[in-house]
Amino acid sequence: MVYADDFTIYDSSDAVKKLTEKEYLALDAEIFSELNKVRADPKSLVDALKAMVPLYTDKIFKEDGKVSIETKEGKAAVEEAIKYLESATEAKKEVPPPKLRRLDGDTDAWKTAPIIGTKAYTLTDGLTSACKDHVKDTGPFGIRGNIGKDNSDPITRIQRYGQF
Amino acid sequence: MAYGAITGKDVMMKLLISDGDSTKASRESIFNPALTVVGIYSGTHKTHGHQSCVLYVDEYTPDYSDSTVKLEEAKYRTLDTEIFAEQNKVRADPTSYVDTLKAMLPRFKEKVYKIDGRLAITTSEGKVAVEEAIKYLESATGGKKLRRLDKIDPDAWKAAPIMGTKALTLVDQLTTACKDHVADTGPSGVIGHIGADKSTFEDRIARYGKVKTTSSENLAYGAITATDIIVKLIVADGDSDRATRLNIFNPELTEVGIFSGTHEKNGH
Repeated sequence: MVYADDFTIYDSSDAVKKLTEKEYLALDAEIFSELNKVRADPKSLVDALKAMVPLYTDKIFKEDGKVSIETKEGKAAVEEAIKYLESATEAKKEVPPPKLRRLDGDTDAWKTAPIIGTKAYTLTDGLTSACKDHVKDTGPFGIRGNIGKDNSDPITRIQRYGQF
Repeated sequence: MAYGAITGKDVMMKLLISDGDSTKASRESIFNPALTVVGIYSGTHKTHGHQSCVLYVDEYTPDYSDSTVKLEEAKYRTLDTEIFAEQNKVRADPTSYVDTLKAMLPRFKEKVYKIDGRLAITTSEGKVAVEEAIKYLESATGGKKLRRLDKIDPDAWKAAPIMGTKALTLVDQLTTACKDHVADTGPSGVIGHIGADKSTFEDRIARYGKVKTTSSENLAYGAITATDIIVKLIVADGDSDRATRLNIFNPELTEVGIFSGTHEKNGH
């Protein structure tokens, strides 16, 4: 037997919450806006990430009222992400064309330090349809990753609706 | 892909952290300045509850579909004239459509039909239906002698169309019966022979005249060229009776009305 004086059930986890189609659409809009926000200002999420660091015990991430999550890297992955975001630099205005940047050999500079004010993404229906195919294909079976139950890869799915 | 998160910020943090992925690929996609276009879709996931998919590409040219093309009123009238001409052409010479149908075959992948630059279409039968239509057209028999044989088997044209089947003549009143149906079903996107007003094609024809013995109606959705429309009707994908095809080649049918317009679901 297990006894307790006053037992508070953990707000299990987001995973068991049910969302309506409408809420998923709202989530998509939120992701789009967050994506462009952090792209324009990489440092904007630093505080949120820093708040995560003390919540780790080794590889276990535990928020009050939520079920603990076992991660692969522990807080190291979060700290590394913080370091990356904090290294964000302004775009070098004197060498804006991609060709010049390639000549300078620093086309990949954003990989070690994101560029502040990176141009916002635009949303397109064809790519959303390609995503929808994958979500509908894998969701019911609990498949993870980029290869669908139908064996499609992301490029195949993108090409169903357009060319890139 | 992000699993289990239900706020935009949580999804973004997961992608930024890329826990367990030493390449940090999902983070790179966020900041890669060469990528400019995204698609996003979230839904349920059996083990994680939720999943969000984000696709990133550099430049994107969406495939188009005829159903999204807007046509002016005058274009629809031209289309009607073209449908009339094409239909009489294939009635006179069924083999004239063989090459057009043959060109379609390599574009099938199982049941998916895909022309470069156009949205893929999922068919019911795949290329089998097209191959069967080719066989039918190629079996066309001609000559007055054979038509005389038709008196022995009046249904022979159902298995092999007759070369030189008499051209249909256009009748305004039949066109008006078509117009009624297009105007009735187009705005609401109703599909099929029964109108939003519950009318059958016989009802609609009877509004304007009297049929001697036989009448029929063909409907084609989404296409904007006469050739595409005739092809659709001849192939009759998914219909084991090939009813629309038989209407085209039926020698007993001699008069026709044609009217095209917009359709809420299929464009045209």
